[in-house]
Amino acid sequence: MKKIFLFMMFLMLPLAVSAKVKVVGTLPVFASIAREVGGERVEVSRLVRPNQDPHFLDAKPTFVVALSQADLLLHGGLELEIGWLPPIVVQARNPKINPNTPGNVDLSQGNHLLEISQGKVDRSLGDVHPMGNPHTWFSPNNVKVMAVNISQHLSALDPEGKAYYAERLKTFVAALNQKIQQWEQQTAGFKGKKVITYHKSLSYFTDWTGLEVIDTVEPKPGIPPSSKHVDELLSEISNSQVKAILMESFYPSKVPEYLAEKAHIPLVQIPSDVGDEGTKGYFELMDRFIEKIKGAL
Amino acid sequence: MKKILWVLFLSLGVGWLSQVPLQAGEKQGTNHTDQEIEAISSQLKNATAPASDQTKSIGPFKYSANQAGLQKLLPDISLIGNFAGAYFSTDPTGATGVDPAKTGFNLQEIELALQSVIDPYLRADVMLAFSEDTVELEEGYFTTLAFPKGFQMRGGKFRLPFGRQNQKHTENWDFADNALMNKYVLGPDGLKELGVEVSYLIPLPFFLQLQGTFSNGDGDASFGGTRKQDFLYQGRLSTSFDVLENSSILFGTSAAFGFNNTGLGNQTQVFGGDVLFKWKPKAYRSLVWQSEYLFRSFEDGSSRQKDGGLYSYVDYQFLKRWHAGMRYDQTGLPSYLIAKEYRVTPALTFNPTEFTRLRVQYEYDKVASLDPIHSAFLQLEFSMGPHGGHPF
Repeated sequence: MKKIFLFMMFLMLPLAVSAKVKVVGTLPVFASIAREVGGERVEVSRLVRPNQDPHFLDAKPTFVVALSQADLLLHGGLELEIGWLPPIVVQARNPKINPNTPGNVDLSQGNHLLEISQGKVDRSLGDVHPMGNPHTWFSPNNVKVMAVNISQHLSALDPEGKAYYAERLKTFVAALNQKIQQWEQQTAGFKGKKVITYHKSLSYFTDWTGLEVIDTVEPKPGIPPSSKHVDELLSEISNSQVKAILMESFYPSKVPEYLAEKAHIPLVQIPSDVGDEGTKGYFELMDRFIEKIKGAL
Repeated sequence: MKKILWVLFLSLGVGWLSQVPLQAGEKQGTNHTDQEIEAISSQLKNATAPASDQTKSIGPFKYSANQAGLQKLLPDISLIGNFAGAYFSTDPTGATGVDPAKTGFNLQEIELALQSVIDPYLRADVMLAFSEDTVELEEGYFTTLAFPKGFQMRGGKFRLPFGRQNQKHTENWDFADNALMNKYVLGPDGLKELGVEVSYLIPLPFFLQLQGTFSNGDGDASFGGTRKQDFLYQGRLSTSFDVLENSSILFGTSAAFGFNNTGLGNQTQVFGGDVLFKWKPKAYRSLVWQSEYLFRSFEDGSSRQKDGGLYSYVDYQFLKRWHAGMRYDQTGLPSYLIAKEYRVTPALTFNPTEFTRLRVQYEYDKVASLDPIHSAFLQLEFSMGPHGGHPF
């Protein structure tokens, strides 16, 4: 009996020792921003793997464990994770991260949002997000807002670290501003160039760089392409001089590959999140992103 | 020597000179950054403040004058419909629950769900099940949201956490009908009881959950004692961990103790073990292997009866919208009540969108040495509104 007790104590040891703020980000990109801002005062983990579609995820019991021990939950908001996150937040039985508490952070707050539905919506439009397109992190200006948001919440949770977070936030934002300048120079030639994307997930990127998305491989969000839509796309590509097809790496590549081959335009498979293709942080992710698209245009 | 000093002096000077404008530039940059962060901060604060504090009141209730604000407070209302066309070489007899019951068109279930957070401490989920001519409260329970760490309580009518299949609603089944042994032991519609549940997520680095329920025990497939003290006591222990980054495994054991309706004070015990393996190598590729064994022992007048059985199935998602599944059911392990039975069930599922499902299923059912029963189903399911995901 004593042995078992000791063993249990041993297992609980890691919980007792670590006094760091425990942050769980649903997506790797959110976790990565939290790491930048939180530095050594936080312990960050993520739920979704970089090669997965954040809309479709199986909630796993291990997610519940992560959430039950979290001090701060960072999620994308705008119903991005609506299919799987709410039930596991309930199951995590952690009052600190319940909706509308300070530990439950909607990172879309204060973001510049696109595609907010006007009027009545229904699902004949596909899997729509009426409150706005949830793939906000592909605009670096939104990431800046997310970083400030995270730092505010960290400072509230861990007032001793307030100066530390402020300092790190400043460093991150300054570095991001420099990167934005660099990226804006690199993408200066993107303006007005026509592309096709797989899902409506790159709207923030194309809005920022001036790329023009004339259609998506999915006829409607979440609905795989039919052969009729593929024909339409082919004629659109040749009529409007589409330069490239862009897709995140986790989408099925069969139809885009077919389109690219038929229309003789490049298919650009871009890393979908931090960690995909070995990218180590947001800067690397966007560097790779821009480099790949630039190479194809 | 002199030369070296000169070089040193010069290089220092050049270094200092080149440093000066850089520092100035940096300083300007930081000021700008500070201002920018300040601006975003105040913008964020404004975003969280309520847009308008204008209120109207009806009697004692106050609500925001803004119509959109009112709508935001509505509970989530959703409805899931399940229909099946069925063919049986011999139509089933007795209660079939939501399973297709006869050759022809079957309304399996229409489930209306109202779900909402009630206050900072509670949420409630109510699901009404409509069949062709009745409405039944399928589940209606509250869940605590702010109990001391790791504890949670549910109260009301809910599916008891016995094994995996019993906790799942029809729309989450990977097949069109219930598993055989679940039907016999826990009832065609599953074991749903009025009572309370206390569960504890044991604070460990891996998932270990203990659930205990105390309920009326009215389900008459195995329980349904008539004396006032005939309650049902049930528990479950489950654990889960990630095997590799791509896969996870879950083990559970369940037990239920209660009284049955074969005579005053006759007792029933049910035990179960289950295992679930999930593999998800890619965004749209997954494999589920789920198996469950049930064993029942009950007093029936003077004698004690025992029966047991299992099901085991795999469900493979081979394209984003397509699943293929195969299930095997077997009773009489180690003993049976009336006859030994086994069943083989292949199924093919197509989800045109997240909100509709089409499924074809064939069943080969063999009871003792009787002629096998063949059946085939074509199931259609649709879902409207924001239906909250069910627990895994």
